[in-house]
Amino acid sequence: MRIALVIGVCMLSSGGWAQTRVEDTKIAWITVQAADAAAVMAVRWLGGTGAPMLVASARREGRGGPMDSTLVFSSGPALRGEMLAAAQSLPSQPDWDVAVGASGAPVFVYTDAGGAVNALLLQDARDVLPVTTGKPFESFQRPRFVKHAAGRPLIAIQNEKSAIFFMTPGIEDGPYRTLLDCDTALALARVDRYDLLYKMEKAGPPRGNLLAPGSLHAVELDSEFRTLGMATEPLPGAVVYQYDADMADVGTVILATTAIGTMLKVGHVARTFTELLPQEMTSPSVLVARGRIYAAAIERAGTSSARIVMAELPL
Amino acid sequence: MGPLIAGIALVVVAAIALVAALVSSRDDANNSFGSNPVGSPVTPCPNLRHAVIQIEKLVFAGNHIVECDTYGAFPQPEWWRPRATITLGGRDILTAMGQCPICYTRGRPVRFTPTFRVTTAPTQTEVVQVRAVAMWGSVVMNWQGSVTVSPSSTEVTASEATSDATLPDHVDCTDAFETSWGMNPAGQGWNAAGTTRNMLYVVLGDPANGRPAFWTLLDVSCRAAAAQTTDTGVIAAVYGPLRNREITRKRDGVGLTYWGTTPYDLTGAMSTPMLLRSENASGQCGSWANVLLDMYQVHGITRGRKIALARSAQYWRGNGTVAFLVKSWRFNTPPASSPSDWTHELYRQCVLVQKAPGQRNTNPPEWFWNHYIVWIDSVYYDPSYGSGPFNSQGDWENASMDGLIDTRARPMMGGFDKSRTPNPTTNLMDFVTIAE
Repeated sequence: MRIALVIGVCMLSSGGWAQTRVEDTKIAWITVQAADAAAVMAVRWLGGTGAPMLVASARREGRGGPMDSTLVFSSGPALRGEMLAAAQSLPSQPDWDVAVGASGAPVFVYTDAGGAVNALLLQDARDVLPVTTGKPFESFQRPRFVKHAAGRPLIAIQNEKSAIFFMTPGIEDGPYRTLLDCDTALALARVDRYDLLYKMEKAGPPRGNLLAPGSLHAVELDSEFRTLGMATEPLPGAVVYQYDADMADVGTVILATTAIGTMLKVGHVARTFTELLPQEMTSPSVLVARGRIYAAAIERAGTSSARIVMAELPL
Repeated sequence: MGPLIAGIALVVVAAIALVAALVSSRDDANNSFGSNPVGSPVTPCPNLRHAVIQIEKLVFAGNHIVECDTYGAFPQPEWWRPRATITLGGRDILTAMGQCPICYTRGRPVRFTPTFRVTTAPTQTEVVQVRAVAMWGSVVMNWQGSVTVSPSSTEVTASEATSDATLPDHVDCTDAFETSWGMNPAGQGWNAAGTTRNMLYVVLGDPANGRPAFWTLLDVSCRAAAAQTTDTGVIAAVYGPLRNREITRKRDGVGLTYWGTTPYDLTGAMSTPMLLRSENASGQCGSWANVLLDMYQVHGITRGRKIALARSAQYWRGNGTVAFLVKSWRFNTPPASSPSDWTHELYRQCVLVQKAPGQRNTNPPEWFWNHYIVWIDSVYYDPSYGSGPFNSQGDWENASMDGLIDTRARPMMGGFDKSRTPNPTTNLMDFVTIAE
């Protein structure tokens, strides 16, 4: 009975995404020197024409008391170079993403807490634009730009329930499409379709304060966002907390924090990292550029012993 | 003559011996097959031994799954003798005696499948009758069944049994639903076979909309609404614990708060599951509105609605620029006459007097851009603060807020003293029903 069940699972997960071979060799993290690692809430790689850049977010309290809070993005040596400072409506730990805008300059999307409803704002060096004007009073979390897409479409989670695809964020009352119910979602644009990765929440304790455990799924969408084929599990059986992904010639590259440590899957091969505290890794970010894979994460985020780590590997 | 007398004497002795033997035999029969007290040391035959069994586990049926506050559904069997603790998600859960809480809809029978441990195997296969009895108030609930025990049996399971009486026809709960078990091997008489205890919750109707019956919601609502038999009774009663602002998470005994973190940015929970899962047990108003709505749904009541409110839905752009002041502020100079007159410098001319206490927190943020409350049966509840019910939007505004602030201005400016006549008659906010 048990053997039959295992065979059944193998047959179900035999799609391209799910063929996984785990290699024993581990990848070593390198500590990123940061001026104030304890203040860093999240990190993301930013690609573009230049060298990959690691961007970090932190919250700065103002002189106006506990309600006076600013979200600060920084990069460069020791992550000291301030890229953007955005006043927060309320003190919060916003979800955010960064991408290269049409002008080549970075553009950010982040949540702005209003007490009940989290608005979604798009900001570059010149302007701040609301993303969600077409959906007043709906609350959004976990925005992600669609990678490699023309324009800057993005996906965010509405009311802790559904993934919404905003096709032209920043355009007033711009079009959007509801994709599916999930906890988080990230899309990679290909020529005529999208690869959609999404996490479905599972029962169990969180990582950190609120990061829910879940299972990672993948499905292809056509240009009209219709699903093509069955969803698969790129990391079968893994309890996933957060993930990031990018595309390479050899296949999709996924970096995920899981219950057993951070995993990097390139094509069909998964490897883990050398981690002292694999249960305390958050904010994984991965970028494929210049024939290499750039990975980053935070260890013990928000504590006095926080450490920002990265790894650079050839494809 | 002598042989005759001797013969008569022999017959008499034999008759006496026969009568004595018969009497002795009857006594043995009484001792062996009567209804004996527990522990009677009578053995009818040195080679014949009857079964002794004890309740080992219970699997309930017809009940609702109880979700352990996002750590997963409580497992079956719901009662298992050797279990000292329940571990879910790698953590020990605070349950009474390591057994699982049970949930049934009111007026239903209790069904379960019992399994018994064979502590003494019989010398030959025999049928053992089993029975259980439980009391719920004045109601006596009985179950009956049987198991076949062979000399090699170590564990035996009876068929699913249904109680001959139903649970009370009202909401209720008990910390120890105690069931006393008895066994009767081969008609030898009834002996005790152990006792089981589970927490048991009785809900008004079947949990609705596929929402899991989180343990905390069951516990809070069933205790508060005990003896209620109607929707309206439950709706009114379950608000009591929120009004008292003393909700405790069942799985770990941690008190749940409204913005109860320092600094505020650590409060991120925006839904019931997030609040129940969060390590710091602190939630925003969305989580508290959902807690109340989900408590209704645990009892099958689905007509509650989440209301979002902000200064303007029509001009919604992000979070807007106008926030509202949560009570209590004092405007030190003559008040503004319209909602758009920003006449008072915040904290200097418009002074925070005392914060309205939220759930387990006397120090929540003093203003917000938007807020979630709950509407049901034509009244509003504000579960974040445990206030209400309010009969109208105006009633909520006058009880909950003191004015508006322009967040673009530096310093920030406030206006429109809500408590100043005639301002209480003007509604400042837009109320929007959120589709679930």
